[in-house]
Amino acid sequence: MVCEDVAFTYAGREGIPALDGVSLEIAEGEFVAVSGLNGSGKSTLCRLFNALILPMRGRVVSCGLDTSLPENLAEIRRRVGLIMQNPDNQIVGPTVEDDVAFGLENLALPRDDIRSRVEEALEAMELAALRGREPHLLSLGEKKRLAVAGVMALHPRVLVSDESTSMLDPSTRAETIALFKRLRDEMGIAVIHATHRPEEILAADRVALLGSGRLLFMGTPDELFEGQELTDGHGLRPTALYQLARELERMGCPLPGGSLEAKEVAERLWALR
Amino acid sequence: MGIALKKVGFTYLPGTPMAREVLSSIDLELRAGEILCLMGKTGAGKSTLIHVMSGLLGATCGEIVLDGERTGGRAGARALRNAAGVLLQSSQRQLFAETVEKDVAFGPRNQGRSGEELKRRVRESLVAVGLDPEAYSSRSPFSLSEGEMRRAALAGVLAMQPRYLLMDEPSSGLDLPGREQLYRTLEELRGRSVGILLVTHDWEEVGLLADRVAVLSQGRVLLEGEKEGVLTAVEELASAGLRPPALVAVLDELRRLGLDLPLCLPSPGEAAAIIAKALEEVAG
Repeated sequence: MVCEDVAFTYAGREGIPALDGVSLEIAEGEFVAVSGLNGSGKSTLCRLFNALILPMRGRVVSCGLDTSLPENLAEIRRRVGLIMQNPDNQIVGPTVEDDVAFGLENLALPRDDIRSRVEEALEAMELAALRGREPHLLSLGEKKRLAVAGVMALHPRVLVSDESTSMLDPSTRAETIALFKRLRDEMGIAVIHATHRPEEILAADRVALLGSGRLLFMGTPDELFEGQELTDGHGLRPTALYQLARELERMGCPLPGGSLEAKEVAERLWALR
Repeated sequence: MGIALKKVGFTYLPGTPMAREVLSSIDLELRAGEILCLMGKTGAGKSTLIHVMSGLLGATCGEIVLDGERTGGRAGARALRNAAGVLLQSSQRQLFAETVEKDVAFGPRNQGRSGEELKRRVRESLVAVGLDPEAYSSRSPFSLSEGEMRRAALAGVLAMQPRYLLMDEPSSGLDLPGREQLYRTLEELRGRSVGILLVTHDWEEVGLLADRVAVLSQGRVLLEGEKEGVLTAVEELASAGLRPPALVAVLDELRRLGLDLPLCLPSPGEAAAIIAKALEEVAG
């Protein structure tokens, strides 16, 4: 994924660009969090990657394909899957199984291919037991997995998540982040995840921080949380566990930061005694 | 003063093969001037409870007492709906008008407000949710970002000046300044004796705002009480499928491993001090 000096302004919002002069690169198999305040340009960036919108200045190249060329669009949308905040917005099938098949049917793939890919996506998202269920009877977490399954069946190289965890409870959120890591580790899929949540930022390889449409920071989560001016001004407070690790460090009990779980923190502390 | 649920149950599609009991035997009171946080795993019945408490759905059994008066039938449902403002989970879907201003004005206009008073209420509600009336009034609600849409929806509820406010995860999707603004608004409303039921998954939010906490599990109230007690009840929380706050979880794990620690609800600094002290004692 490459953005070169990208700018975008929505109709009716002339003079207030949603993105302005953003340049960044995301490598294959990388998990990148995109953060920033409401209205900072996160969703706009997500939509540009998927070519749902096109830059008004500069260039976006998704999986080696320039999004400004109409002949590339179908291929880009197949390779770059988008998961939205509300799964109801992207579930269309009468059953779980039909919904996963929807995108594949639109690609007019042979029937057997569709069947095997649906199977594979259902298995990967642990939805096989719910295959005949009507989507509206699913829990929010199950719907989220269904939305991801529909995207995964298309065999994307990149998964773009536009605040897809914001409506989830903490355990479903943690499951979703674990799922993103699994896609990265097992299939080499790049994940671009827009979020406000510090614990999710800490789980990423790198983080891009947007402010008023500009890229303010691109680096590792640790680097971001070290520079306190940056996080304070953009609504990012490190997690309680991260703060605890820092406090203990000051007291002479060094503890690695990063995205530790409470259990790991306790075990490492116990080992220090 | 309050909305009291007494042995309230709710079943979707009762009397059919698809019947599903979602709430059973709920005893819970939301009092005027308090913030009651309602927690529970997805599917525990939290959203249904909001619908029943606000008269949007009729309880299948039990009764609801509003400010000392029993509610029942259509009149009861109307009384509840007038008293309680509701912010649904996908609150951006509550928006429908051409402009933010018209959207926020819809509720109070239906209550018979007009002229300067209506304008004032719209303006004050927008300010309360952190949307500058100058910049937002004439915009289409559908041109807003998701976070801004949620704020606009809340402004529409506040403009009706409800005595009770039932909110389903109002802070989800809001950035930190947006959440802090929301918390200030809620504290101010509590100060004006509004009773607020806040469905949340966020421990930080509970720690900051809650006067009391109730935990739902499989349609029943599993835990209810002061926040310190509920938030450190690690085993009961686990049985409701909830993880305790991260720092409580660290203290709890260390206790299980054998460190002599109090189980409390600390700040990161306090937790570090407690842990450092206990580790020193063990090292002796």
